[in-house]
Amino acid sequence: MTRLLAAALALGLLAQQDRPTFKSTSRTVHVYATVQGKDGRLVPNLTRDDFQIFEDGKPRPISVFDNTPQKITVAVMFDMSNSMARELARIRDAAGAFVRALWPDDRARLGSFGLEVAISPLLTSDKPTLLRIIDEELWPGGPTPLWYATDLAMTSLDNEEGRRVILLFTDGEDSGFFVPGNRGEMRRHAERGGFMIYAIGLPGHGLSEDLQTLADDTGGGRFLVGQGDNLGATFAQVVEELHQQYLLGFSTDLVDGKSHSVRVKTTREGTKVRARQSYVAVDGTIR
Amino acid sequence: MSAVALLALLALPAAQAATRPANVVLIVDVSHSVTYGIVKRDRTLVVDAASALAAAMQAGDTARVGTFGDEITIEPAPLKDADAVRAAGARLAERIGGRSPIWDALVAAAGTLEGAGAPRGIIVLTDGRSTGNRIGFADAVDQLKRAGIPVFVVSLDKSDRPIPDPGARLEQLAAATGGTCLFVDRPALPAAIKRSVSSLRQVSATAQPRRNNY
Repeated sequence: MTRLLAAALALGLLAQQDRPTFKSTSRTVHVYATVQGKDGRLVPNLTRDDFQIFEDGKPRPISVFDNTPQKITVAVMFDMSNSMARELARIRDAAGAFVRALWPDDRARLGSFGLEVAISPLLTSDKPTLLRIIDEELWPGGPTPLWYATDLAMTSLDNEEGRRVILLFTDGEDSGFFVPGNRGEMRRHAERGGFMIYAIGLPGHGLSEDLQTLADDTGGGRFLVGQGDNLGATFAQVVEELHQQYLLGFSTDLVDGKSHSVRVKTTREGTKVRARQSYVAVDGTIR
Repeated sequence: MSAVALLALLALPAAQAATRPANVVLIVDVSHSVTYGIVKRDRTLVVDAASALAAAMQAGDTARVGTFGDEITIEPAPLKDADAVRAAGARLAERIGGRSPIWDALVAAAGTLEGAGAPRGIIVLTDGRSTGNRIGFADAVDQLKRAGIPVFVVSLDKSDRPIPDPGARLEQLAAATGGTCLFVDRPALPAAIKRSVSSLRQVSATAQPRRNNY
């Protein structure tokens, strides 16, 4: 009898463990969407009814919609590896154009990777401070510790609210670091934190496939700039795009700690949407 | 009063100051660009620098030792004997890597000299590749000048004037505050620190302590 009772209890426990975990409190998954027309221009005048959201392939009602300009919280990381030395003046000019394009409520943190992975302790709207950092704190030389730098940039924004953007400017693939970056962990960090990754690449190695995929998966963007192209205009374009994004949201009851797919579509013909392609259903606030 | 006596009287403050105990802060850049880059994985940099300072100390001198990388750490109390300075260097030896907040570290170091009489000054060991600062170069120089604290730079970057040149700002810093700037190889580090301490005694001999505003 005792054995039977023990077996029954054990089965009961197993059954409990097999059950998916649900909590009654539904939470919101926020999705920032960039919509472009066939000509690549941003499409700013869509309404809630123009959008559809799918969670794991199933349509979900849109519970949040906002098409007003969204302020930016961004960490920008400049690749300062050896190969970028000859581009330094161009990079400084472009970084200045980026800072000047920011709106008063936007906040930016600047950093670089090469001999060091260094990120400013200042997350600020103050443009003279940002321009001072560009002037004083970019030093070419060293390897390309891309993943370590990306992870550090995300960590620097972990405690910030709202949309969090990482903008990477690089001409190459990750070449490790004294403390090697972990690409897998960095990707999980991006998904769990709901970070949007943008990448601007220079000719040379261009943008690695991994980085392109990361930008696509997180709903960010990627730009490859030609040798004669205006780099500053590309940085300013990123700022404009970020201000023109739609904030959408849907409710979920899932708390299983797993990754779930997200897909955003518009019913407007000839448009293309970029948005995060997954989220992690963690217990607590979903980023 | 004879002319000779007058001259002797005028010379007295400088002569007295030259023999007065010095108050020195040594701060060492342990960022990646220094400890992993120009000097590969240099775990003994702080120890060697502190030992060189200890060897240059005279009776009555006080010294503090600090490092800057991802954190700025400076011994809170002034150390009065050479063994204590060496021990402080040993305690900081494992702190290597990270960014290079040179200007923040200089201002923090200047703060520890508040109230200390001349001769006093900061010896900074760095490659000049400043990153991750809260304050900018101009603000730091301005604060150091107002506080009347000379900075003696020992730069481990002897590379041939790269573009941009981190050494240029270090030279400006030294010139603006009344210090010196030496560019040396790693083996010449102890001699450069000794020379900086000697310069500090001389340069500060005529300087009057000023009120710090931190």
